[in-house]
Amino acid sequence: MILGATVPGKHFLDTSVVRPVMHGTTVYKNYFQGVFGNNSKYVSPFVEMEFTRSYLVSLIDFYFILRLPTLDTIADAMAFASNQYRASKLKSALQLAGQLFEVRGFQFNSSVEKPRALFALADVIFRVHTKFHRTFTNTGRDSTRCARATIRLNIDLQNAEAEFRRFSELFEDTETCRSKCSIDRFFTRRHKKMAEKCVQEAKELKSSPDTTGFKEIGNHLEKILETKGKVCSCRLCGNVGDAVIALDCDREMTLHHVDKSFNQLCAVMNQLHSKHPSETAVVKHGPTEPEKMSGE
Amino acid sequence: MITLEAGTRVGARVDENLLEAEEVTGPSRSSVSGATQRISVAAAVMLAGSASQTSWVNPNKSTEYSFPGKPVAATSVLTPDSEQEPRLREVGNQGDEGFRFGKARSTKMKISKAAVTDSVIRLIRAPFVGQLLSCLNKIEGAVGDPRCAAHIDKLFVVIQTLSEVSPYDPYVRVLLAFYDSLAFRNRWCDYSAREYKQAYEVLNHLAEQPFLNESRVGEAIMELEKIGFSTLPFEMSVDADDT
Repeated sequence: MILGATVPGKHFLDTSVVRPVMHGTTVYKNYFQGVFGNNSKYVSPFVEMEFTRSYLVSLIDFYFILRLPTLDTIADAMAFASNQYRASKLKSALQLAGQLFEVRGFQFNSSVEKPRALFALADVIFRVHTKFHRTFTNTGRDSTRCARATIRLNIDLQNAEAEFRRFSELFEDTETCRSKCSIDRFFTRRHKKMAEKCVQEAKELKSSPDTTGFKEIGNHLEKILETKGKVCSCRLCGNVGDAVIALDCDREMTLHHVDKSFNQLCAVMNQLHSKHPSETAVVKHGPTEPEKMSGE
Repeated sequence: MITLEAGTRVGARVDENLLEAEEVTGPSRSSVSGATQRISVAAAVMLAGSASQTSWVNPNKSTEYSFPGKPVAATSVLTPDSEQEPRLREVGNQGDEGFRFGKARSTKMKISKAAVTDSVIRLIRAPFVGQLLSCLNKIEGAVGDPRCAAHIDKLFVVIQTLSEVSPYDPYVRVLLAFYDSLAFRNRWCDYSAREYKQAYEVLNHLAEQPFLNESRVGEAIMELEKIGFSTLPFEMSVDADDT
């Protein structure tokens, strides 16, 4: 395969590829542009939910922090968000907001600028949503029937605050969402054999940096199988998200990923997949050829 | 004549049961062409079919929002549709709840609120679009030359001013996406004349279209993306998120 040449076939993207395609560094974006070209990039509702959970929701969370009347300026809001919450929780939102406000020329220490900053942030949140839906093709296939994946953000800039509040409340209501989904049956019935196989493989594998992710997934799957799915929650689902994506992927498509756990998962499931170098590797050492593998 | 100065924010919104124009004046942050930008809104109202209209009534709040200027004998007032009423309604009817001024005209016209709002938004937008396209033309001819900066600067001012004057104009969403792609790390100097020409065509075509909806806005943003303008240029570390 020629480096940078478009890879043929249907491309199914894991969240670890979706995120850099949406907002990675220019070098990394160009790398994926070389891989996918103008071909359709497929995602599942579950991948979209993961993107929303990890990225869009944190942007909305920061929007409401910025709205707080107790925080006078943009700088106050950013300082509060970075000091008050775990570093990773709002890191991406703070990175985006910082760059956005700088580009728009807002004064970080002026209270006058806050409404303008809120408007700009709302506009960009809607733009992210729009771009996602126009960049990726949703397969519509979601055997877990994830209820969070069905919650839609309606684009309404005039009523952004109300819309964000509605969306956030529905999305964060994990108890209701869990009661509607069938993640337990997904692992304990539909893909029981594959899940058991993953558990077995994870136990047999030696621990190494390359297998840590897969072994953790194996442990979680074991708990799910032991309890017949009773321990399933949105949080646990997040821990086994890679397994959900790999199991639910169309076997005729190539699953593109950066996460190492897919190497073992796809081998167990005999899924055609392509492992891409990390952003750091591409930025530091230049683009390298993706490792294309066909399962076992 | 009704005039709006640059820095004046006009949000014309159409809700299910409410047609409302709100006017918030503030200090002008920037000026276009060094002179105050003046826009005729009266023309917009005339275009909507309610000539000499000077007041929009919001019965829910029992208040009137009036533009400064001499109130000419008004013949019709725009009122919100009730839930039972159709989207199109007759104006100039004597029995109209929102009727406030003068006598009813004998002629009856059917207008929709959406048409009025769209017309007003487009009229507010029109002079800015003219300047914007003129800037893009000049930028196209000055790519790679230091004088390009002057045209880019003007372009930025036009976009910023329009986004303040008419923030809820769907066209502004596309312009701000275009702005971000140019302003981020001064990437405006990386784009070619051909790309600017294509952006001109996209923005010109979009400005001519009535009733810009989300779908058209999304299409236009993606057209800019296809040309090469990164409308979400903000870079984030991929390991930053909590999954």
